[in-house]
Amino acid sequence: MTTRSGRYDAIIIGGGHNGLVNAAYLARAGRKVVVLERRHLVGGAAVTEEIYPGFKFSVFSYVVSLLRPEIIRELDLPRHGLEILPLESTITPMFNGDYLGSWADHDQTRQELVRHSRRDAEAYDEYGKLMHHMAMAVKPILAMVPPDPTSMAPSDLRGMLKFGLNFRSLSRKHFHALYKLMTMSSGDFLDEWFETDVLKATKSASGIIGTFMGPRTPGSAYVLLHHYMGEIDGAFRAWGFAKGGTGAISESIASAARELGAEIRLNTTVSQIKSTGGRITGVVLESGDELASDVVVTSLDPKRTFLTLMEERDLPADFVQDIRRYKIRGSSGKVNCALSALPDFTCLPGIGPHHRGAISISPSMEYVERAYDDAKYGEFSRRPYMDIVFPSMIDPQMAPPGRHVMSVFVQYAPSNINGGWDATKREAFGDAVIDAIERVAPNIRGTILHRQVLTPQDIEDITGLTEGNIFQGELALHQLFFLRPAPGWAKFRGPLRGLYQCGAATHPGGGIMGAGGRLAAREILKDGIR
Amino acid sequence: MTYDAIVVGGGVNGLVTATYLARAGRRVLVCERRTSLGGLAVTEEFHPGYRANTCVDDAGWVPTHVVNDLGLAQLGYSPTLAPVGITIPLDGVAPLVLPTNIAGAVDVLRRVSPADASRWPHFCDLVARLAGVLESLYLVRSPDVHSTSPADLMTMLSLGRQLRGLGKRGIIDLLRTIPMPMSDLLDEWFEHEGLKAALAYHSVLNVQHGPFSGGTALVFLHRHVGLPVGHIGGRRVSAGGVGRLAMALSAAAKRAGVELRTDAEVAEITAANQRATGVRLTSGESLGAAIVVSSADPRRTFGTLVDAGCFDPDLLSAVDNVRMRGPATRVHFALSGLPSFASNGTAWSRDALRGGIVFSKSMQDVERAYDAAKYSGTSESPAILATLPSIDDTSLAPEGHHVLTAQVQYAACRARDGWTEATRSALGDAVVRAISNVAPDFAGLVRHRAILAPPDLESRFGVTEGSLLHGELAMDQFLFMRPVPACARYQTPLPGLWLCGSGTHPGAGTAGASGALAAKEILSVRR
Repeated sequence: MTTRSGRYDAIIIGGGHNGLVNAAYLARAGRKVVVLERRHLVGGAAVTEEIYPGFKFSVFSYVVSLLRPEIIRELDLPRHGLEILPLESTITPMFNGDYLGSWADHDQTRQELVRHSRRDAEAYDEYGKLMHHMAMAVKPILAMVPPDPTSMAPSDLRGMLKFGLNFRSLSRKHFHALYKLMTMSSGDFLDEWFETDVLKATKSASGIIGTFMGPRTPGSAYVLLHHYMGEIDGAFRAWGFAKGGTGAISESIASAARELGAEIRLNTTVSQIKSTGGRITGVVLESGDELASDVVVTSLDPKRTFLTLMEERDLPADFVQDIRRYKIRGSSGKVNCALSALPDFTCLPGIGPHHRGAISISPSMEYVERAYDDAKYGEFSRRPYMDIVFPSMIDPQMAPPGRHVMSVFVQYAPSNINGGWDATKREAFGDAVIDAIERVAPNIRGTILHRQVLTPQDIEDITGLTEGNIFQGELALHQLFFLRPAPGWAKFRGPLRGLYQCGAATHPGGGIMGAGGRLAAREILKDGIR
Repeated sequence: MTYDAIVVGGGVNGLVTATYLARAGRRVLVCERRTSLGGLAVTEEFHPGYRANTCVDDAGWVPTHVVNDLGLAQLGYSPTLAPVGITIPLDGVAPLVLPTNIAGAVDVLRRVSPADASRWPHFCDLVARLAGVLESLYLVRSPDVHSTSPADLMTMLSLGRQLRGLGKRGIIDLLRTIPMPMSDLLDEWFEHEGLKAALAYHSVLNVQHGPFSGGTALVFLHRHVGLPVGHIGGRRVSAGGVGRLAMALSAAAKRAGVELRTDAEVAEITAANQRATGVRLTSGESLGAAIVVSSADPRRTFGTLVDAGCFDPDLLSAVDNVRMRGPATRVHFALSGLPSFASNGTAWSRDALRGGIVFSKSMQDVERAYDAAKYSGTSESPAILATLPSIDDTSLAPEGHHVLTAQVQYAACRARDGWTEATRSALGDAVVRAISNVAPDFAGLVRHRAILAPPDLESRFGVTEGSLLHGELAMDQFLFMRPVPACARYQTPLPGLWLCGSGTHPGAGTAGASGALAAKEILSVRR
């Protein structure tokens, strides 16, 4: 039995970025908190690891843009080592030998678009303006605790009013555009704007990342907006890398949290969340030790938290049903390679500035949609959509001199692949990825020194994310806002007193955003349980 | 000679609008390009002696107040509800025949899944509750969230109150269900693959989506508006076919003093000084009117009937972006006898032939059929829903003979490889193959088959891209977004031009709801 002095004001399960942000904010408010992380390092899916001697990889999450600027500011993350290096371009090689480029420089992008379609070049500016407006309209919602539309409590009515007025304040035109973004497929939405297939394909890819949808699936336009969100804040205007890899982001938050007094225990697996009479009492560790606290915050996905760490009989029956119904659906894989040299892309021969940006394998709408078709029926995409980056080009410390690391984000790889994942399928999946890259960069195969293939199953096994889903659950309309992760439980609380949620399965959802961690901390402090 | 109003198109909605306007004392003309009235709600002879519901198996929900106002019952429209909703062929055993009475359906389902049987009444209840909410939304013009007019605020308030009346779980169910993919919804409820496939079919009826697409749950609920609880996959049946509604509406229109002209195709809605002035027929004849109400689909109205110069380019591009995408081919068979439907040597019950027979074995089958259409192609194994209207209505075929109609999905109207007789035949052959599996003598009984692919529906009925819904039913083409925000309340930006067709709220296959609301809006504007 722990003594009172050994008690924590809050125990945070999971040392991913949201858990760390949550701990930092609680510690900042003077709470005695501990973060329990299963692995030997913090970060969850935001980690940097040396999986091949001398080569460092952002193993899972590899780019960042969504991290909330207020978190960077309030936790003073740059002082703790956070440095974001911008990703300057996206190149989409086409099968006809041409390519489509988009650059940080607006005029350069426009010129490139003119090469493909004058009309699209015109539309591009309008589109950019619209998306900016849309993101601005949604921004206040990201920072808001979702009100419960079924409740008559004054705070909920106020929240609904604020929510409603936020939309009413938009012009009709913008309101209708936002409504379309919330309901359409990214493909249909982009069809309304552009005619160049490769442009639509590349843009629509942002609408599918991390989801089990194709560009023609209604609902994917929202994901487009979700990914666009990060691009509007002053902190950094576009997608970027963290110096030292994505793990450096987690390390900087961890450092801030420690400085504020939070304790972080690594190699510490929680096996059970304990409660009596509807109140949280603490956690049991795999070692058998128990830690007592009246507050437990989980940054894990809800299936793991509620269906494996808790007893069903301790939870309301319809809540358990809602959690079972919650769709997670891992759809992506990752291939990390140590390279002896950079691949040479047929469309842009030689080594050039394009190696400092992303290479998008999305040559046509049909290509991306067909990649989804394979996954719909339980197979990995034979010709997958891929987002390829070479972090060592931006941050030379990631690889030995003259050598490089290549990070390939791949869709689709269904977590529920027919017959289950095994070593043979993993390698076949890896081969399909390299084959697809070879079509646009024929020298790739010879440059690979080491290849790490991560299927959704591997992502689950290593990080603990159910079904390997990077967003802890599909960003579908029926799983957003006051429905995330379950109706009635979208306010970062759980159905027991003292139980809180702060992961990507809470509003506003996935990406290295940290919003869930911060909002949850605010709610915990508001409740005043300790 | 001038009219107070000319209605373009004598389909269900056109006739309803015309009748309401005439009853209010307006002098109204309806111009219909075809020889018969009724638009898509027609039952036609497709082979000497054989009649079929050409476009739709059910004319759709006619709001009760429209039935009463226009006296449709006295004029011969008093449909009954099909006693069997869905028939699901199973491998080697008798089909699942789901009656529309709940207890009966539970009994049937118990045979294949006790779990599904126990959930059926609750599922029926969910569908009825949520379809009921849609029904009340469909009885008023679409809400305008930006308007601050007292009338709009009252409407919003009353809708809000009604929503609250659903209770906590009810509100969640509504908000959560509407955007869902039907496959997710069904996976939450049922385990039997065949049952899920058949229900899924009703969530993609006439839309180019598979059941894995978000928003298909909305299509399913929409399809059940106006049907009593339990009538899943239900249909309204009239003696003589769906054309009975068209006949009653024509009679109502005539009785109200509407002038009805068939074989009068409108070539152009004329305008002068930024105002609609009337119509010009393909015959060259010009007719003047104070207002013109188009029941044609939005793409046809704005794209071909009115001079583009009358509109803001933004509106035209918005209309151009309305997704039509009719995915359905209708195949009608004239049969010299009743096919011997049987499973494993045992003949199907008569009731089995009264349901809509869905031949897809799983939701994946339906989804796979959809994939081809995404790439502007035609399904190799299309999803098929077959009905035998002549089983209860002997007027449709010579004595002892029968008519079988199949709804076949999916085929893209603007096919990548173009439409040929071979493409059409392939769809017809797919139906023959599917039915022959359960009725081996089917092919031998076929006297004639008529195949209406999307481009045929387009040319015969004037529906763009063969869309029988006048525009896909989807969340972004729903309520105040239908057909486009600028015309969501039937009035167009061109003074004197109104819309009343299925492309407007609530439209999409409901019968007369749009027409009635359009008339109400027109009449609310002072002359």
